[in-house]
Amino acid sequence: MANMKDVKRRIKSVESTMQITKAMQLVASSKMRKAKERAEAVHPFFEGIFQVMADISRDHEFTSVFTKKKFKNSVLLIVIAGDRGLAGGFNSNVLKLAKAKADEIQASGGEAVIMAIGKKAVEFFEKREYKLIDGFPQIAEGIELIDAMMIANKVVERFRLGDFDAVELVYTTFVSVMTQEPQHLRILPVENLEYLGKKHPMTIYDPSPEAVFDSLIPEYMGGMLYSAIVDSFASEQAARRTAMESASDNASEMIDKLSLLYNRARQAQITQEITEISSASLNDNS
Amino acid sequence: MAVFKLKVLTPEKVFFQDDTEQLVAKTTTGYVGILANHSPYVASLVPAEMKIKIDGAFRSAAISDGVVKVSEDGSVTVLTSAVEWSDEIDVARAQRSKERAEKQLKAQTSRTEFDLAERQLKRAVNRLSVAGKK
Repeated sequence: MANMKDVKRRIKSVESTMQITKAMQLVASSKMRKAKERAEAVHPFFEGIFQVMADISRDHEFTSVFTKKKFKNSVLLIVIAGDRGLAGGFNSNVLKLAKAKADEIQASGGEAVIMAIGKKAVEFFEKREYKLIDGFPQIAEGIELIDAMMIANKVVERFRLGDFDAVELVYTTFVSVMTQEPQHLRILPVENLEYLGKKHPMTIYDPSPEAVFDSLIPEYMGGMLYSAIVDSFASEQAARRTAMESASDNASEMIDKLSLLYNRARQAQITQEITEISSASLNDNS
Repeated sequence: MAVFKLKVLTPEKVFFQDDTEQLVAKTTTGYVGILANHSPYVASLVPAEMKIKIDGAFRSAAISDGVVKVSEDGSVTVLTSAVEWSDEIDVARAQRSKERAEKQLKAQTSRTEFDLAERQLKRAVNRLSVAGKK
């Protein structure tokens, strides 16, 4: 027979754990909502920038260091993960993809250089044999555009100087509250731009299409990085919310089972006491 | 006065969206004024004061790097990483940012860092000079 005191203590401890997981779930879902709004606010800006870039490349034959495809000797992988754990498979999924991409680059004879955003990403690559050039832990929550711009400016400058031949991004995108998917994107050189012949020769570019295009690259990169970081943060919160929700469910199931056990033990004890009392009174009468 | 649709977008929000009489902004080649029915035009913007004229009165804002685009339908879009109305600029923060940039410029750093610090300084000085303007 289970000890009543032990069972009671376990119920208490599960209850207090459940309180924590419930609180974490609530916090995560409110943070997720805010992050989602921020992620959505980026779209008009980003589409605007990309549209101008697409217009330029559509109307003009031009050359820019930012569109030239080069042999991939050295690739910068910007990896975005979370700052904290307890978010289901969120961190491990995105880091697994990042590692696979880095290995792929190295297997084909290139060099993978890593820039890690988020504490978990920094820790992951510090422990392993990869070239980590920069780490930015604890910036995702409350990130401001200026932070993303600073990182973007650094990356663009180094790309221009030829430190790397390509810049790729690995992060988690928010699909829905239930699903978040690790993503791999090429940022530089800029792809999906095509020259279709002069269709809109009307537009005047000041000072020149090339100069406008090149000056847009840091904004493009910064906007992209900012939106990826916010997107990843929203995903992290969604993953944590789901993980904490199932933890709370499990806890409440456990409490139910333990309560049953406790009640049974209590009943057994009462039965025993009655038996003892009645047998004692029987003894008295005789 | 004839008006045109002006949109000022940053990655964080839609900063301004309304009918406007005139937009004055500084491109890499100098200040330009844009009125209604401007021909299609695209230019890069540098950190400077940007003025928007509504109902005959100008409003001033400090703008960082960006781009201005006049579409074929005559609507104008300004895309920038940062923009603030002159009366909303945090002077203390701009001052701090200026000092930080100056310190970095004095330290003997790499070319890249020097360029970054220089740009930061330009933005901070711009914000300080626009602050308080009507």
